[in-house]
Order: sequence, then C-alpha cells, then structure tokens
Amino acid sequence: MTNLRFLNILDLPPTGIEIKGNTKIVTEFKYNDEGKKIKVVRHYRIEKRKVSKAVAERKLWKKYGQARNDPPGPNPSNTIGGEEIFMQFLTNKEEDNKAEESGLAKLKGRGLVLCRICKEDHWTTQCPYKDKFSDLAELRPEVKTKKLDWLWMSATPSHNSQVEEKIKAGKYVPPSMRDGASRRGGESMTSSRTRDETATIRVTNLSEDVQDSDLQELFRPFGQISRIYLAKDKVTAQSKVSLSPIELTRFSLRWETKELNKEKDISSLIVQLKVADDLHHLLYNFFHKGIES
Amino acid sequence: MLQWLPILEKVQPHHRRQVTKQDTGTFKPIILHGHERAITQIKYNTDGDLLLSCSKDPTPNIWYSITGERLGTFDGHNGAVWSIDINWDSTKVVTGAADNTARLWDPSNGKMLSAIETKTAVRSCSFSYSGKMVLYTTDKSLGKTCEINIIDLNQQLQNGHVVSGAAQSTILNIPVPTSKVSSAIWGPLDQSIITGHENGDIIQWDIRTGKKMLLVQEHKDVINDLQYSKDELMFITASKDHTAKLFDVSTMKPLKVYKTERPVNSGAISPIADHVIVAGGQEAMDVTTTSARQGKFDARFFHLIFEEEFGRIKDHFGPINSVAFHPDGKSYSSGGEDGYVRTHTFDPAYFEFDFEY
Repeated sequence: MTNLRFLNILDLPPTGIEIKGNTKIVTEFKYNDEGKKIKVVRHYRIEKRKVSKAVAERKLWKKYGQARNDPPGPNPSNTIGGEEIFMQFLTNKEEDNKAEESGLAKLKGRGLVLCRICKEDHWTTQCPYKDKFSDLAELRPEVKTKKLDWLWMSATPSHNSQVEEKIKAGKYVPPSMRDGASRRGGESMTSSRTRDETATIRVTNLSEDVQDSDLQELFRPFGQISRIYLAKDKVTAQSKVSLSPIELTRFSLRWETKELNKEKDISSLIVQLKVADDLHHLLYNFFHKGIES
Repeated sequence: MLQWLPILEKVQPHHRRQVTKQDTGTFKPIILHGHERAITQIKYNTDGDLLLSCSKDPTPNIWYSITGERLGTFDGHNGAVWSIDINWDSTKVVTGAADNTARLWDPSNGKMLSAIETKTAVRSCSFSYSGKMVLYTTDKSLGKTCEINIIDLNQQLQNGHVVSGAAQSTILNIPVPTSKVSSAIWGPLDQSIITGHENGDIIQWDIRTGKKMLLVQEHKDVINDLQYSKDELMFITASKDHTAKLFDVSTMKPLKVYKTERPVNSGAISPIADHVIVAGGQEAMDVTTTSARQGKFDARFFHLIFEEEFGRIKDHFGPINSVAFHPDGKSYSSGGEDGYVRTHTFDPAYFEFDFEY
C-alpha cells in the first residue's frame, strides 16, 4: 500500500503557480489519509508596500537554517492562514455588572466582605489566589464542622484530656480514641454516605434532557445546593429517568414540607420529589421545637 | 505621556462609557508553526518587519512579520531557549538557552558569531539601547548562584567562543545570592538595568557600580516578563500573582494595576493607543487538570489608564507565554504553550473602539 502511494505521488500533476493581477493562485495536488487524490488551491494576495531601505534590503536576504530549501513566499507547512477569530468587546461592562450584583456591590468597599484567604475586600470564592491556596488546611475543616454541627446538634464532641496530651506529645493515638471518633462525621466512607442521605432530595421521573442547571434553578429558592448528581445513562449521556439526588446543605426554615412534596413540572414531565426519611424527621423537629439557626 | 496621566485620573469612573459600533472585531490570524515545543519569548525588531521567536526546542526562528514567511532558523543550541533579542539595526541577534550558553547570531545569514559559556542556564538576554552591550542573566542551580552579566559586544565578537570565567569582554558581573532573576531589561540611557525576580521583587541596578539603586516589592510572585512602552518611560510587569502592573521607569513607582484571575505570563503596551495586552492563563502543569474554558488562555485588552478590561481574544489552546505589539501598533503577536505563534492584524472595529469620558 505504501509503495503504491509513493508511486502515485509521481503521477500527480505538478504544482501550478498562476498570477492573476494581484492574486497568486497556487494549485497543489496531494493524497489525503484515505489515499484519495485532492486538489488544494491557495489564494494569496500580492501587495506592494513602500518600506524603508533597510526593510527592503532585509526582504532580499536568502533563507537559511531549516528554511533554507523553502521556495520564495510563505511555506504552507510553517505559515498557516488561521480561521477567523473574534475579539469580544466587553461593552458597557459596568452597567451590566451593576444590575447583576447590586446587592453584593453595596457590601463591597465597606469592609463587610473579607476574603478568608487574602483578607482583601472580596468574597472568598472570588479570591484570585484561590487555586493557589486551595489546599489551605484551615479552610476546609471549618466548613465541615459547621455543617456537621448543624446536622448533628445532639452529638457532643468528647474531649479526653489524656488523649489531648498524647497528641501534643506526638504519640500514637488509635483512631477510636481520637477527637471526633464519637461523631458520625469524618473521612470514612460510611459516615459520609449517611451524611449525604440526610440532606438529600431525590427527584425522580425527570425528563431525559434535564440538565444540572435546570435542577439548580428549580431548587435554589429552597436553600443552598451543595451537590447535584444527575444520574446519566453511560451510553447516551442523557439523564436517566430514575434517581437524581440533590444535596442541600442549608434549608430556609420557612420551607414547608408540603410544598416540597408538591409535584413540579420540568420539561412537561411530572417530577416526583422525595425527601430522605431522616431529613423529614430533622425538619419536623425544627418546626415543632421552634429552633432558629 | 506621563504628564497627562494625572489629569485623566480625575475623571470619575461612572461617567465613562465604552463606545463601539460593533460588538466584535474579526481577525484572521497568521499561524506560525516553526516550533515543536512551547514558545518562550517572541520579539519584533525596531522596524517591525522581522519577528523572532524562541521556544523550549533548541532552534529559535526568525520570520517576516508581514507575510508570516519564515526567514530562517538559528541552529546550534542544545537546550530550551529562554530568551531572544535583536539589536536596534537588526544586525545581531542574541539568544540565551538552558544549554548554558548565550549565543550571538547574524540574522542576515543565520550564522553564529559567538558563544558565551555560562555556569548555568541563561534565563534572559537583551541588547542595550545602543546595541554595544549585551545583558544576560543566569539561573541559580547546582549550587551556583544567579548572576547578572554585561558584556562588551565588540570585544566579545573578537573573542569568538568564550568559556565562562575567562570572558575578557565582561564589563560587569553581579552575583545575586537572593532571589533568582526571572526577567531583565535595560534601564534608561543604558545607565542601569532593571531585573524582575522570582519572589516578585523588581530591582534597578546601577551598572557603573553594580549596586542596587531601587528595590520595589509590589508583586507577590515571579515576574515573568518586563516590557517597555514605546517611549521607554514606563514598563509593564507580568507576574504569576495574577496581575500586571505599570511602572514609571525613573522612580520605579507603580502607576497602574491590571488584575486577572490567572497567572500573567506577558504584558505589552500599545505604541499608538492607550491599550495594554495582558496574557497568560492556567499554568502549563495545571492545564491537564482543567478544561480549556477554565484555563482562560485569552489575550486580554485593558485600557492603560482606566485599568479596565475592554476586549478579549481567545485563540490559543494553551496559556500564552509571550505577547508583543508590532512597533506600528496595528498588529500584535502571541506565542503560546501550544507551540504556535499567532500574528493578528487589528481590524477597523478595534481602532473605532474608544472610551467616552
């Protein structure tokens, strides 16, 4: 096959160069990857420019190095005419932003907003150094414990003075003795799974072309959504009609359980909602004991 | 230029409105594909007819900027070429590479004129304004300290190939035991040099005494690039700390800050408009962990005075490592981690674009 192709190259018509007025047309024949003969026509515009003497002299330099054997004019293998690209003008950017973040903008500049990473005047999520310090150890546990406190208010951390001393001395402390061992949170697989389920809403009977963003939109009024997992079919990459858990971290207390169980309409399909049983219980406690967070 | 800067600063920001007849400009870039690896620096000559590019492969290229035709390559280096410069009358080219040499070339025929052997990799090199001296800086590695060196060009050309330490042509040698020099340019009237350091310091050195004249600590991370404005009264820094800053050369005071969300690799000031290009993107080593959309590999156009971003060009599919304005201000080129150099000629929409104040 390869030999045949080499022979074929000799059969190709020679490259033709034609100059029509101020256009140079280069016609080249070659074989594509499938062995088919193709014709490549390139149009070059010939321009005459008045340049300084030095520039004109430099234009006459002979090509050298790896370009030594290049014909006059651009070598198509090195110089490629790119596809059209666009320059986006960010017009009236200020006005756009105003409408978008009017509430947040008010907070800015008053020292109310303080970044936890660089202590400057913006939200932590918008910190320019975020990716650099993303592994900051102080940040994550803080968030996690807050969440856990909220969910497991009854769980009291056990503080054993003996254990603490051991930790300070750098001695080995078995996991069961460590701080947080009694808590259900932590890094282990099982506890994180239970945590997930407590604050999870399952949405079933979704339309196949529902996207993450649709669900975001639908559930945003009810609380902060920490995770959406849209079950997707492996082959078609479309969402399965079955389960799609959404994890909410914080709910607004005004939220009525009744409303949640209402049927919602996404893409003309009736969507069934179900709150995890534990969560039901938790919410029930909130409403009846009147605890405000 | 500096004299009217303070006057414009008094304009209240909310009175400003950007005016353009179109929302987008359309460019058809010329793609220069002469390198096999990431571009490290690109530079135009004084007249703007030649464009030089060097990359992490060992052969720097030289191109005709108008047609994108490759004039030639400088063959001889054995390592990544970190820096390239051409003198004012385009008769000499200097390259600094990781093969522990800085080499001088004749751009008319591609022949090597001389080589300077150094102890470590050469990080940056540049011709003085007069073209009679060459500045090069070396890396700190293998227990050797970073050094700033200045050589007399004519003497060097007589010496030919020179082994380190024996360089008779060396005018000045400054060891820098502190933070490594990451970029360097000549100061005004060839009387000083300005170096950007790995820890974000910018130092102005007196070349007569070799002493530090001014030290500014305005950046928090590596200074990747230093570039002059056309009149050489101001220079722009590009730092990994996600900002580019405009400095006054004589006082080394920061004038303006251009903020982005990604490390900045290069900044260039337009010679004809109050525009600044700031380019960079997610670092090469982090790119595989993110999608191109998040890498923000755009060339961003900022207004020089208002520090406001007004335009973006998205075309490289890797971070941009070097940008340069054509000396006539009507086109610019960018070299990226993707190994391509792209030359963009501005369309009328760009020139019509203006700020109303």
